[in-house]
Amino acid sequence: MTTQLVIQDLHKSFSDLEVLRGINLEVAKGQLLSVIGTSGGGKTTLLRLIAGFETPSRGVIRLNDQTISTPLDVLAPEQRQIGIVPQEPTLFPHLSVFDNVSFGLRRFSREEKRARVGYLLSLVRLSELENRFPHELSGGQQQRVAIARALAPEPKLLLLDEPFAALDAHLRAEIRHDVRSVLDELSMTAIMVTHDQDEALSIADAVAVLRDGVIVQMDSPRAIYNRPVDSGVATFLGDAVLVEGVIEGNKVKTELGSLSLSKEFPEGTVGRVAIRPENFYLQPHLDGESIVIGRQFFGHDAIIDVKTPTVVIKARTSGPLSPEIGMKVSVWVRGTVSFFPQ
Amino acid sequence: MLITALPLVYLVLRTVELGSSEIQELIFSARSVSLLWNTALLVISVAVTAMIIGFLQAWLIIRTDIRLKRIFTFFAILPFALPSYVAALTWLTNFPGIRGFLPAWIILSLLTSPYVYLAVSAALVSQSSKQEEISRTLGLNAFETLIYVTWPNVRGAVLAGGLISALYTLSDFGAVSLVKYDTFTRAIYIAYRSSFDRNVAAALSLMLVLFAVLIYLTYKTFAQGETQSSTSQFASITKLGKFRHPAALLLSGLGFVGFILPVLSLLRWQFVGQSSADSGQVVRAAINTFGYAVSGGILIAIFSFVVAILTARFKSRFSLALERILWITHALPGLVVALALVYLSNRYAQITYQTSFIVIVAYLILFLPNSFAVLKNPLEKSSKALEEVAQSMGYAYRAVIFQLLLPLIRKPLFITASLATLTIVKELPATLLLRPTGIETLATRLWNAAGGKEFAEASVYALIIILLAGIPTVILTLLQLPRSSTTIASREVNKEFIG
Repeated sequence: MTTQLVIQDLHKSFSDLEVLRGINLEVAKGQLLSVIGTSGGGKTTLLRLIAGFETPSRGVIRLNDQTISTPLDVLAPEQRQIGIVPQEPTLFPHLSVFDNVSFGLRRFSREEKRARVGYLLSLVRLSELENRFPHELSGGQQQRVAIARALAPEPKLLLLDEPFAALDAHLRAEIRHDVRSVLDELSMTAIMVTHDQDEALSIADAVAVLRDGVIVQMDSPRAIYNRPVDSGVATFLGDAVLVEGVIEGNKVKTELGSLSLSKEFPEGTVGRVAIRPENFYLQPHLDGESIVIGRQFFGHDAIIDVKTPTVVIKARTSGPLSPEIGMKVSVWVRGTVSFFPQ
Repeated sequence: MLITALPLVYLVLRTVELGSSEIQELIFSARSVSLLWNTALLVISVAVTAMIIGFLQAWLIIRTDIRLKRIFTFFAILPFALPSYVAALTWLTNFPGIRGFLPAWIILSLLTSPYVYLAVSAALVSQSSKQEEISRTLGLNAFETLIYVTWPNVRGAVLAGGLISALYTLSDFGAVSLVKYDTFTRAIYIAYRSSFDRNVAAALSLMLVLFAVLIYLTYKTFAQGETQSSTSQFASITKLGKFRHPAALLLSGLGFVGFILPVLSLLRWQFVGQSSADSGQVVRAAINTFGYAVSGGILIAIFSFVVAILTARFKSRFSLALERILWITHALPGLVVALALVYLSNRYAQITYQTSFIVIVAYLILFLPNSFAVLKNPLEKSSKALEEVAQSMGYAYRAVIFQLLLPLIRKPLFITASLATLTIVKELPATLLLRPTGIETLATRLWNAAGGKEFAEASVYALIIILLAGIPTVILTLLQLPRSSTTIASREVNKEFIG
């Protein structure tokens, strides 16, 4: 795999507020990287630096081995061939769907424009709407047009700034899936920033966690979920119960029993253990020491709040078989858990 | 309050009196055609020039990396400090022989560009630069983005500013008269002064009003399709690069020609010329002026508050009609209002003829619509539920008005009344035609002195007007300027009032 985008030691300050404090990233060609972080954590600033709207305070950005941003020299946005899909669709209100999508194709002939716009609109499944104006489209349709518009000039890199945040929940999953297949179809390299872990984990090839201006972990979605580098990342990427533990042999001893680890630690190490809801197994039991105190039912599954003699935990169970509030249960922990030495 | 309808009544009465054949004769006479041509030429040239200047200023100041933005903002608005006849006077003092189209065009373009600047800068501030950024990522450079994205987005604001510029030019009396360029207003004044038959003045007034209506209708057909606004914490700034210094030079030059040069030349006359004005005369004129201005301002504040409450809260046929009348009289030139009041008071209310009362009535008719427009917006926006809550807690509606609504619009009310007061200080044509014999104001003194080429004396009055009314107007406007967020009220004040 060839590396398309390289970011080295990228810093950005606004007056005395340091938003980014040394970002290092590499994105391979055709890869979709999602950058996840809390709101106001510098995600949008990172995108704006890559797009060329901001000047870095320190560091270098390279695209295809061309240096495009340093503190001294920033290549103009229009010369970078980097497309953007903003959080709100931000279509040009005075132009039709066709004109919006062909906006970046000014040097194309009329026939070439027709062909390219037609192809892109079919990719985002909007072929019949090319004569509509932005205000005549739904939010989801507008966002699809924005994606087609950004892809039209065949950018080398596509930046997606929380592209699904403004959409309804049911539309979000659908468009997410569409975006992924469009990116695959075009072998497009893309960076998507988001604060939503479902979004980050579900369609990306790699996930980078941005916290306090630095990337604290970058890995495949599965690895980052199963082996977070610290308890902060663990709780940020999904629910987890944190309990104290001490290493005994190849297990960690906790209030919830001796649990299996995904990696080895020296004997006697003290630390915290993150247990995901799906690690728990609840067994209804008349003599059980734990009691169900709450339940969120989703149909296919359910999240059960259980009070054990020592802690309150969240457990994911199959929906139809989930225990009722007030039931006594025994709590088991399955699979491996993450351990963070203190 | 129906007093504001008087000029309309007059126009209708006169038209009927004239009879259709006489009207036709007047309208199709060679003189009318030449007046029409002169006026149209001036109105269009000024509006277009002001739109270009105002748009460039707003774009450069709000969306580029030009330096000294605060100073250039100040420069862009400074022409508001000059009434048109003062601006014309300063050009005359420097080039005594100038006359005709060219000086009128330059003076009025400079004077009215702030209207465009204010409208466009408000639009630019309220819109995020996201669209521009996307355009850049799609390969368009800064200039192409300005043309294809920014311009379509602010076109509505530019046209709105252009409309105000055009109406200002159409009704301007002072500047065109001093540089002797024959437009409707100048012809009306000459006809009024010289002929025994005032039908000519009346017919020309009618044509002037029809012209104003035509401009407004043209604007309506062009200003279709409004812009969307959204705010963003990020506003990207266009880097001017090698154009930065030429752009700064342009903005400085506009400020220099539009304000600094005029004031310098007025100051110069204090040293080179011999003023024949004695200080007693000046003080008396100042006292008269501020007497009119303050009483007019207070009355306008009271009336606009009452009318705004009536139309915003007690919708009826009466209040609707009132609102319409205000909108129509809004576009009437001061000269036409003055003529109407001369005629009506002379014929139907002799007791008011040439009294200070009728002068104040003229101010009310001329400036009430603006104040009303400023106040109506916040009132309509404030939720009626708020008042209902107050009523449910035992307040009578009268108490609600004074304890809830009045405090709610206190600030716009104060600002609009202040601006009305300052505007009256600068008003010329109505004061000139209607003032009681022997009463002189700063503006009428200036007018007489300039007419007699007594530039030293005229410049004394000009400086006092700039200092006491012009500069405060600019400061009030600056305080109201939109930054990140805007209140509609202040924008309306800015756009409509200062003149």
